[in-house]
Amino acid sequence: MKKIKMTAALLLSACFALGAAGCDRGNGNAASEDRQTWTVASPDGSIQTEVGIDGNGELYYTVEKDGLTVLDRSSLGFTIEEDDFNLFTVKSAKTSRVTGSYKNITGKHSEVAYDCNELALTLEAWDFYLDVYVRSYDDGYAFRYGIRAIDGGEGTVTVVSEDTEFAVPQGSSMWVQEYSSINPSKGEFFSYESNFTRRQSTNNAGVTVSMPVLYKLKGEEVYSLVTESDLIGSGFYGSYLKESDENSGTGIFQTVHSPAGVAYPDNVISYPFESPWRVGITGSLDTIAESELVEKVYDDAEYWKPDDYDSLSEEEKAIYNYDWVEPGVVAWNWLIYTNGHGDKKPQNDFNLQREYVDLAAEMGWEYTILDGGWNVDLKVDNFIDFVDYAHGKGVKVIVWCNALTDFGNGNANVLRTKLDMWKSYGVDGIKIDFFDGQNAINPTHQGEDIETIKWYETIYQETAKRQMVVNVHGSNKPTGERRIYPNVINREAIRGNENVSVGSTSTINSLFIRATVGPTDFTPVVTPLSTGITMGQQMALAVLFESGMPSMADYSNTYLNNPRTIDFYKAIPSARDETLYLDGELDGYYCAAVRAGDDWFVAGANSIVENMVTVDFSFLGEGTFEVELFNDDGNGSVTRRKFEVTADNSETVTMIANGGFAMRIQKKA
Amino acid sequence: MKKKLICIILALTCALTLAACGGRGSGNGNGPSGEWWETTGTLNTDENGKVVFEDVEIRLTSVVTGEDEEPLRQMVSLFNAEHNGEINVIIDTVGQASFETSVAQRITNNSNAPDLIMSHQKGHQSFADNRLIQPFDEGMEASGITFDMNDYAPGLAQYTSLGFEDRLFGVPVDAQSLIVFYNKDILNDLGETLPENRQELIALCEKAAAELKTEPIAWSTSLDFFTLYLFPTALAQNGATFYDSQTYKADWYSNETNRAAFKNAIKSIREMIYGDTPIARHAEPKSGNLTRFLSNQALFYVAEPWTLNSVINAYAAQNKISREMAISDYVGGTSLAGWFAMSESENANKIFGDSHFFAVSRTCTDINKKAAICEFVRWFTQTGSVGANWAEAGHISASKIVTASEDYVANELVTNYIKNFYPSLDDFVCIGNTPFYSAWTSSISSLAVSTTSTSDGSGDDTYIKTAQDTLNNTIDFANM
Repeated sequence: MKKIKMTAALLLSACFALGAAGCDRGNGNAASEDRQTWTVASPDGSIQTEVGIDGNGELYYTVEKDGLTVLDRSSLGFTIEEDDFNLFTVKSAKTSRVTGSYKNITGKHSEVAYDCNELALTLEAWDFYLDVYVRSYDDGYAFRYGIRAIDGGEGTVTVVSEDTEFAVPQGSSMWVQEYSSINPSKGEFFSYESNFTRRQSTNNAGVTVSMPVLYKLKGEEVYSLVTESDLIGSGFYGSYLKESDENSGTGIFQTVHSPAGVAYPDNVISYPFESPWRVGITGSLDTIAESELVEKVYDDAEYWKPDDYDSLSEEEKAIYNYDWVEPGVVAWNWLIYTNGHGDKKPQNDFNLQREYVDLAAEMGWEYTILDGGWNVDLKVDNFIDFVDYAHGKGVKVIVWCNALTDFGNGNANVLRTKLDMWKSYGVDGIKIDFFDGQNAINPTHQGEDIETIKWYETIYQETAKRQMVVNVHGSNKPTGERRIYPNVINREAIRGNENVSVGSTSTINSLFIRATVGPTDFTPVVTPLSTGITMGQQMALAVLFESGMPSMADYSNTYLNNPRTIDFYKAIPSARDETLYLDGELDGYYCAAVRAGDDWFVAGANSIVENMVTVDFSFLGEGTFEVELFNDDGNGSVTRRKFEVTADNSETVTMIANGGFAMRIQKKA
Repeated sequence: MKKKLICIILALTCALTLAACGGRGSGNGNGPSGEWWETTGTLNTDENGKVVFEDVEIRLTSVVTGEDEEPLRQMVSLFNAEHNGEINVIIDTVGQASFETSVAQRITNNSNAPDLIMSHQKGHQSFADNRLIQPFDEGMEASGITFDMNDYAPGLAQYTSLGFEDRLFGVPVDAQSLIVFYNKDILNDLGETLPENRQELIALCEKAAAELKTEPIAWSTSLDFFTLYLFPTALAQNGATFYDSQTYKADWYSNETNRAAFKNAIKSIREMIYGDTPIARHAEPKSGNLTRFLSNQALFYVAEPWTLNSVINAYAAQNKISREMAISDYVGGTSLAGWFAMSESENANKIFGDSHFFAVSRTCTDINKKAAICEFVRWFTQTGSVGANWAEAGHISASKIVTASEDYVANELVTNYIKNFYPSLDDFVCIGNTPFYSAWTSSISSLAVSTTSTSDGSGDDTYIKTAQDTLNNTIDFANM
């Protein structure tokens, strides 16, 4: 059979070559001429994605933004053992407009419109179709693959490689989070908590680059942020970018299997298959910072429902409206007490936990988290009393768990049993940790292998069934999952305060890159844990990092006993209606405005040299507003100043090195 | 004539053999034929011949991964901001445990190799012997940015040529050892001042023990740095010789004078733990002894210097005072100088530790990068404010230019802590240029663990002999 295929392949190849010669458009080598190209333009025409099949039958794409090359010619394709996608015929090429809108429970905006043009290209090989969906949005491009059997059947195929390339133009500067195992003596583990550092696109030889990654075209204010979306549910592994040996030092990156999770042959996927989207948010820094492209590619996707949804009662069906998902601020004491050097207290100290329930209640915050160690020597009756106490004060309870060791290393039955038990105690959600695989006892569930990606999915579904919200820690990057699982309202994958010593260059670049792709659990404190960030910046980060469940991590008295800042922290938004990027530069500073209901917040975070930012209040609309401005006083605390503004005003704020500022803006009656 | 020819052939053979095994020559290293590094490209200069940096990118791999990593990253960011469009330094870090194997492999394979490394001096001899690093000389010559080792602490500058005469293979950055915090309140309540020698230390601690009703010194004997830094400090203060500088072998037991020094060092620690009035504990967990210090139950807290900020912050938080108040009134800094010296001698104030050095990877070939490396290293080791920033992360500068600068001298943490942690860098000791430092460390650590875990000194001779023989056997095996 294989021999017949090979002979046929050679014949077909010859036919293509002849065909290509026949299509020769004149000059040059016939074999190098494109056989066919398609151009997908964004609705406003600024993004042009060209897809082509060259004279050798190789599939490629390029991207331009306003006529500037954002991606040089880059390969597209998949190599599987069961078929040869290098030898194909074009079955169909359809273009369409994809447009609509959706509402967010949590996100940068409460309502999001999406609009793009799409090319759906179907390539027919021997037994399988390779579908390539390519989209151009006004704020970037996206593409994904599909693999399906020509006979319509189901089964599995073995992936040899995904052949997608991102050929970053020469001279570009990149901001890269380099893969490096967090526990090299034990294996390959990564939880996206390292810094983003600037490097030339051609200076990445041997480096494995995590996504998202951002680059800037040389001499232009055009940026592109490359990442993946719709990973959870794809049945695929998490991907990274790396130059192949032959492209070493060129800036041409190929998608590769996560270096974490290579303990077994992790390449068997089920078909029909749809790959995660490969997304390139492209434009100015405004475009990057405000884009929701990672989530927009889900189009009008419905929230997840179980397969037996139709047979459920109306009450049970209502669960899948997800109107029980309540964004809210969290009181969290692990960082200061259990991790801290000071007055150490374990998480099963329920006097401490009640203190934080009281804090949440006083501040009007919705949640408290009991972190690792909460169930050591647990007395169930006492715990239920505690939950009742919290609920009596209007505070919901989240409990920490280990994604692997608490659930039999990926055993769904154990997961269900424990979630049922915790739910019976009244628990409202979980903070689930250590997806990085350090605790895996089998070769599977390490890093972003296929089993781990499926495990995320199982956890999201089982928690949704039980109306539990989820905060994911020790995890991979967000890939838009809250469009399907809106109960997943927070995520780590950030160099946050948990690292204690966090520098301002790290936070600035994280705001531009990591925070662009989804919710971020930075866990701001008030009093800085190190000299790397000031109090003004900690206040700013409480606003700037979008999260459905921002965790406030300082001493309770720090919030309650500071009359200058207490109202600010009471008002910290979890759900937001608008996010407006105002100003900034990579490695430098970041300033944005956030609207939650009628309140606006503006915040700025600064890196290592003093900067000034001018806030133009034109976004406020009509009326007069009162501004409460907090800024570093240079002595470890903040000043507070109140003043009135209208949309015609602006305010210049000086940010000290490593500093920041925060404004709360309320409309006057 | 025939004889002369044979001599020439013999001389050439010897020279090649030496070069092949990394042997150290004189004059210009191994001479051009012996150089294992290369230089490519043309230096960008202005019309006056001055070096011009244009988008030069250098990769720095550092061994710094503790609380001082983020400050280091911030400093690199500051350099990049100040040299925007000229030089960009990309930093990554590799932990001490795997640094030398991992980075050596990257350089050997030239895969994700650094251009510049910042690592402990003790590994550099082995790096040079294995031709993994190259001297700064060509970068200095091309750029005109030079390093005069007279501007650096002599105790560290002596390790910069690695035996290659007239070559500069390393630039010292700092020194680090175990340091001591003390509780000013307790000291005042005792009506005492800081001790100046071991006798005063013991007397003070016995008084404090009676007052506090517990051991006044909080240290963790299970901490790696106890065996890596504190135990060798006790050895140094008692006049021990670590190894023979020619053979690298030890005579800790076989040389009676050295054996006596080792036994005194062991005794000095043992007396503190198991004496009639114990003043320190054995095997107290790190978290436990920190908690004791923070809750005012210990007069002294022996710690790693890069915990400086976290200890001050934690003390302030625990005692509900401001950081400023903690610094001015409660948490003081002092050193291990004199703590273990059983008799007064010129060695009594020695402190053993590590020193970060910069070194250039063999894989760095572009002359513009070599020059940019010189600029970065100059900035890092000769700029007062930068040295002060690094001191705030717990490291005393090895540069006399930095330590003489106003930024450094006026820095609050330098004044209150860093200068007290290291009274004199002339008394700072590190292991020096032995390629067998891993084996040395292993033997010393074993000896420290064996001897400090028991109050009984009857087995000390055996322990010392075993440690000595283990090291020497390793060296013999390697030389076979």
